[in-house]
Amino acid sequence: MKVTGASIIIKKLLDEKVEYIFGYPGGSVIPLFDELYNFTDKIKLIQPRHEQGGTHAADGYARSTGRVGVVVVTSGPGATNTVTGIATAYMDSVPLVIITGQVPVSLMGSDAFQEVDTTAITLPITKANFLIRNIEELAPSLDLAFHIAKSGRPGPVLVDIPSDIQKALIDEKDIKKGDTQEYSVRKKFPDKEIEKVFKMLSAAKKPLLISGGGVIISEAAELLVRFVEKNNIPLITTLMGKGVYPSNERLYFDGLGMHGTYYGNYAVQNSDLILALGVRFSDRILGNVEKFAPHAKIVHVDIDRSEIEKNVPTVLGIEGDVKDVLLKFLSFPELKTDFSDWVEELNKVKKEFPLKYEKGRKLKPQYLIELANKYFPEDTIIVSDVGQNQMWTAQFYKFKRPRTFLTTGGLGTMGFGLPASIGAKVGNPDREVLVISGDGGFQMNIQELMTIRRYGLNVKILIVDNAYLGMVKQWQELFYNKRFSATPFTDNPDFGAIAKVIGLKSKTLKEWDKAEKTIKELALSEEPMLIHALIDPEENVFPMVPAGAPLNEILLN
Amino acid sequence: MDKPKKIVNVIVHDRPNVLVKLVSFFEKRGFKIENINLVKTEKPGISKYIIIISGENKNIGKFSKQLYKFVETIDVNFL
Repeated sequence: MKVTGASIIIKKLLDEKVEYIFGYPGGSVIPLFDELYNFTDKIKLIQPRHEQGGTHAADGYARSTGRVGVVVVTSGPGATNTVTGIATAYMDSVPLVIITGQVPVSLMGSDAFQEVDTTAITLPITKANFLIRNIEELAPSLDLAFHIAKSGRPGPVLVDIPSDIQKALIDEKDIKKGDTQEYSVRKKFPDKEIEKVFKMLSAAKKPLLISGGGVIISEAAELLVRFVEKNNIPLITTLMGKGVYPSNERLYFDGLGMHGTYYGNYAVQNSDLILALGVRFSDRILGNVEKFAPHAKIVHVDIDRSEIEKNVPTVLGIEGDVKDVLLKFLSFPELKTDFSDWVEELNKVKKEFPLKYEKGRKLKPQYLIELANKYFPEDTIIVSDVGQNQMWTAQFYKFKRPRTFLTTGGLGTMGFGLPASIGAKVGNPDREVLVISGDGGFQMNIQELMTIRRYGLNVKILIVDNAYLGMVKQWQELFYNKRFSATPFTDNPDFGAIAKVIGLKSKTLKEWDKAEKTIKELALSEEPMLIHALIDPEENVFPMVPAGAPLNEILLN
Repeated sequence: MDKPKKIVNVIVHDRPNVLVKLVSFFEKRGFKIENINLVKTEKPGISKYIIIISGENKNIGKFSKQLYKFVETIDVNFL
């Protein structure tokens, strides 16, 4: 029996148990959307108002569920609109499969209507991409696309499919499978490397564990907590690693880097042995590389061997899945060495230099985030945008479970938050989803409020509006002589009124005294709700390590 | 004076765009490609690129490891 290219695509989605696709139609994907029309009971379409929103939504779905997010868009502008979303997912290792339509094979290269070289554009921001030139390649390429997206270090994979191939016929018996073996994880780490780590740990006085996004991705949070608690080792997390949290708070020292905590950075700068699991040592956590962790030997575990020795020198690099490595760690008996002096020292510093802000007068974003932490349930998925809103959220919300903090870490994409929260809610209908966004980023994908209404998604929205592009303003204030070039947003609209016009409940919040009641109402609302909070425009994110400075040269206010 | 030259051998799954990825990989890091050769291996679908690069950057060895970032990369060695 003969089948079409479009039906091969749908069959692959069904085989992969894809329940939702984030898609927007257009001229080059009409055959695919036509086939999808037969399967609306099995594969539900979430249609954004802009392809960038759709891509971030698929990303939010993938980050919150651990499953592959699927995007379907048309050629040309449909494809280029996904680029920011794809790059965001690539930087943060999020598994996506993006299916783009393309002009018919016979027209390719002729500057046809809505033709763009999609695979060339997305080459540096995808783990792999495929341009399908004949129907025989379609099924094997889709097999590889899903395999590559979720295996090893996950990432986005794009498949570009000309519209005539979606309509082309192939005999079912001629459909081949992709050879996924070719792209499987390369080798297993030797046991003696793990023994070496234990020898180093036994000899250490001030060991420190840095947990990154890799620990969340490999579902190893619980193992990691067991390991640090078993051996009494202090733990800090990177931005992407939030959600790994020991039950013994005395072992947890929040974050490190530019907007980490004073005590987190103190731990790094005073440690003599750093165990870094699933982190990529980005410039935002390193500060000055030469002066990063000056007393420490660094052991780096990562599934992607290209990360090891990329940004910091290590004494030992272990290429492997963090989960496998931690299972091996846990098979060793408890360490004999006692680190309690070191844990005490860090707790003293933590007590002396806590995160803080001024209370009781002007409306402060940190207060709103603490209130959200108080009134939202522990399994709430918090989504942030980028900038000050993101750093305040990371500092003041206590993330206690993996996959509860979705944030654009590597690319720092304005406009990520709102659409990503849509994907998170689609993937987790029974859990609360709260997006905390700044006023600038919110306006970059504000059209997705319509998507929230269309699908009746109970997403909670908190806009912390300081009428500035706040993080850039903060840099201008500190390093550019308060020349606020292009950062004031004093003409912001009334976001609550916009929400109301769209059909969503909303409230405006201006005073400290009303904050508690309002955030409580937000948490308890049984329908989507937006809070437009007019916060103190002068509030900045502290502590701060200026770019390129060592982590101990930290500004406290 | 001639800049120092290095040879990098990269064994890869033969897929479209691998050549483009390799070229942009080195150029992004400030190296100049002096010569690039594609050699078929005995195994079908697997090719070897022999790339001669020049540049001031002393970290060529370190950068070569990052070629493993590409899913197509099977082996890298650097002379």
